[in-house]
Amino acid sequence: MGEIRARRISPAFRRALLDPVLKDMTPLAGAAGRATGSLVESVRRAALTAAAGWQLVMALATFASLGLAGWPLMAAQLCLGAASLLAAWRSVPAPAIPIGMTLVALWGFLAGGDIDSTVVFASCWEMNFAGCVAGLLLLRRSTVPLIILMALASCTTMLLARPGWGFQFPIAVVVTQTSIIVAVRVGLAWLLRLANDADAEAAVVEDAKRRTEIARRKSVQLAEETRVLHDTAINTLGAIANGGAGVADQQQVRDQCARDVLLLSGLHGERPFVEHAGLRGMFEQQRLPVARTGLEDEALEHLEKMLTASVTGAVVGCVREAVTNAAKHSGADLVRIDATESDGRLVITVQDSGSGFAGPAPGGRGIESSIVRRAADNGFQAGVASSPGAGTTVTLTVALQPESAEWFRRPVGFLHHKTGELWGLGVTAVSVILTLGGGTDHYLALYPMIGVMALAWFASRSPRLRRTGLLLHALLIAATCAVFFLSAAATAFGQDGVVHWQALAPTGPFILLLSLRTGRNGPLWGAVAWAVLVTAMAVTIYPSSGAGGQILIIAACVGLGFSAVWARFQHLVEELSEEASRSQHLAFVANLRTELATAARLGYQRWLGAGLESAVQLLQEIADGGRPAHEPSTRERCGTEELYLRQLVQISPELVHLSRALMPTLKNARDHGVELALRLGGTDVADEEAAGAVAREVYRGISGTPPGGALTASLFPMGDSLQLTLIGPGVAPPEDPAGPSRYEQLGAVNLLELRYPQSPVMAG
Amino acid sequence: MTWINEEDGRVNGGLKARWRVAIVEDHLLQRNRTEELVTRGEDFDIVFSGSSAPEFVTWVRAAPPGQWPHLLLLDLMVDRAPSVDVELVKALLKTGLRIVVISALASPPLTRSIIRAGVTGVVGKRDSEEDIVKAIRAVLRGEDWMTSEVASLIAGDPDRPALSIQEERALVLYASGLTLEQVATAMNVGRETAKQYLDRVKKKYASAGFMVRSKLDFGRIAWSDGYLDATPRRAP
Repeated sequence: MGEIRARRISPAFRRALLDPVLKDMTPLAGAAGRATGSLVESVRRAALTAAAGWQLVMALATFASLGLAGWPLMAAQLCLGAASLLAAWRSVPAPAIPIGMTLVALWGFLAGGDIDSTVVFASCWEMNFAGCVAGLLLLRRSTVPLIILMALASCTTMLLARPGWGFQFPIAVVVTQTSIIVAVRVGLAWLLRLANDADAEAAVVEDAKRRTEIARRKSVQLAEETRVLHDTAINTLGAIANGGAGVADQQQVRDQCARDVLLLSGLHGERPFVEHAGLRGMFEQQRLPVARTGLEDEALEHLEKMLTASVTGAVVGCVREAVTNAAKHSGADLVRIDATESDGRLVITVQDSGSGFAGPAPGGRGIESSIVRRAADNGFQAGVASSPGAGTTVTLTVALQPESAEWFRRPVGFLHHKTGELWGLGVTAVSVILTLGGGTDHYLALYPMIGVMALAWFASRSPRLRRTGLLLHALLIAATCAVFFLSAAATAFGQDGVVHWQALAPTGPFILLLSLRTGRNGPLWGAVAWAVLVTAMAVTIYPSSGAGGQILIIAACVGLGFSAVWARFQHLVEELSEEASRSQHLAFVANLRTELATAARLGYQRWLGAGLESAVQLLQEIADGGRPAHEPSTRERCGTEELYLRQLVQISPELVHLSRALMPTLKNARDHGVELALRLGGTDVADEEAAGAVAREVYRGISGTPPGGALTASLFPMGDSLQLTLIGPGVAPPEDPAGPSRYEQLGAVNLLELRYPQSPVMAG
Repeated sequence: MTWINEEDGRVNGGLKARWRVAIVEDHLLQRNRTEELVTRGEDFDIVFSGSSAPEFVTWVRAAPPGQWPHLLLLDLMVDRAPSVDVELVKALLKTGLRIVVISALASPPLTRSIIRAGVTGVVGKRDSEEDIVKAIRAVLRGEDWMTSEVASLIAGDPDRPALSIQEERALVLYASGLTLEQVATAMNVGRETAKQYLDRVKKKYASAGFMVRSKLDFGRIAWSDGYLDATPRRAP
């Protein structure tokens, strides 16, 4: 027995971590859609504006270190700042800014002379930010090697030009740059995928809205065409019912009836083809007769909601291909298609009892490309089993909760928490590496600093502390301040080995604080506490070391600035997620409306078909001469049929809830000999439940009316709701009205008024 | 000023007027019956009876002014062909021709658009002969003719104008099949008051329709013939 199996290989970690580093990200950024476009643009502008701002800090740091003698460097920094600003609003070659920043940083290293000078410290971060800006602006695969090469070039330049600085600092530059570019690309790819997803959802909404509009227009068109076509039968029946000159010429009446029968029979036979775009499309086969078993249409429609449009299309395509193969090669005269659901999977088998084959599927049958590969591409399994003489069975197994429920669709709070944890852990790990690598560590401050960072990380994971909220906030704020203080202490408060200052270390606990998302006050108080600490430390240090004070402030700017950017991105993620979520909801509503409109249209056609049958039969009897048109019984019967048919066509299929619920009441009334006048406007009730309640009242009215009696049921807007008005001698008081009601006896007739919620969508 | 005696059809107290009536009805049996109804009225002359509106327009273009009808009895829907053009109805009304739509009322949207176009008389083919003749005379007098079924079209119009609570209630009750007297009883008001509510509804609906009408560019309707030159018809 030949068997082919296919499995989808799509590890999430590869997509999340490796692809951003190894693959070109321009397709992600270039995807059509508003969210992606605005994300790319806002990231570009934010990066370039931040780069411009940092050049100002650089110029101040240069002035502080070199005074007016540093004017060429300051001029270069300010020019670069201006170019960055220009690039934020105008088209400037993207690589120019990060390359310029790297060159300015190198110049700063060389001009600064002293490794502990303010300008060297600022240049360190200029280089780091150059990596960030490159990661945000340059999306090609070549960016990662480019940044590493630039870092190596800088490293070599420093080793050659400043041998006295030793090996540690240049190597740290390479390690830091590599880490930055990887982290930025991973984060940006995540954001872009989120934006792509929001755009995809928006596209689904647009598509759903378009289909809804098409369904609505189809309904309107169908209703109007049907009305025109049925008008002739209504007219003939009405003319006969009226009697007089209309039926004076018996031959003329018979000719008219015969003509109508011919026309209406043709219409009845011309049932419009309803194309099923969904799973039901797999049973529409032209090549071979299909024996269908398993799930009914309604069940398939329900399951379809759990699949994406592309998966549904692929399933239908696979089934059609299997049937085509059976028709072409098996010699079978029938194919069986079975659809079942079990364990959260939809299983479809296509089976023929033809010749079958042994071993692997013979080439040219499309099994590999059109079934197996198509299934694999769309994330479901396709199995083909065959043996000579026993036919071929194609089995499709489709998970109803597919993997396409992307990890990034989880609640935003969860994502913030996870990314915050990841950053907290990552920055602590980098601190450990830098400390073990021999970074400057006065007072052995780095060890307690790492301890505090680790403690903050563990605390943020504690469910008990997370529940208390305030305590955890206070703890993380204290940890942020402590880490900043200790990182400063490790460089003798900006006076020794400042290039080793781990200025991002305080962002570990601070970003954990941001990721709590239990209110804005925590991060705000944290930022205030951090700023107060920095001010206090700078004021204390400045009298003894001006450079130390300046470096301290720059280090704080780095940490606080990074945290501000992080918060901004968090906000961006929230916006994108909300947009995607909103789009999903809108798509669901639009799809639901389309389904309802389609169901209403089908029901409308079914009822009209059924209503027409008895009219055609009556007209046929008159045309054949079996029923003389002038006889009272014929006229009465024609009157009944005319009223029934006219009321059927007056109900708009746009009333998706009411039309389905109320069309059967007309037949019920006719069967009971009750003359029911049903008057509906262009406004539907809010839901099926309300439509059912309306129908129940009408049925109650019909059953209370004696044969030959009359009942009028109308449903018109009154204020904000729809009012059902029942008028007739047999109308009884309401039994258990859900809303406001009124019952009154008006002489020969009784009046009952009931209110129902109306649909916000109006029929035309 | 022209006034017509409702009882005997005399104009300005003088000789009994004769009204020229045209019939457009594609259904042969229905046309026979409509012709019968009209000829029963002693003061009506049928000047045209055909199966489509374009046929009528062609005829009227060629007819001498003395043959032009005062009133057109018009069926809205035509078998296997486009229904009556609302624009044409508007253009005909603008000339002063009075129109009574006599229809199976199978299409609420089409009938609503005709009412909004300014047609004041709409009757159902299953209405009683007496009611149809009354409707014709009312329209010739320049009055509205509103049946319960027509009221239901207004009540069910999603774009109907804003009504007061009492007007809305009177409309819904009348449109639901109560007689004017029963509407008055249900609302605990007098018959005249109930009628006033309904008159106001008609007025609001018609003025809403007029507002829509007045925005239309009649010039784009390519009728250069004298009949459609917007000269109001005069009573005989």
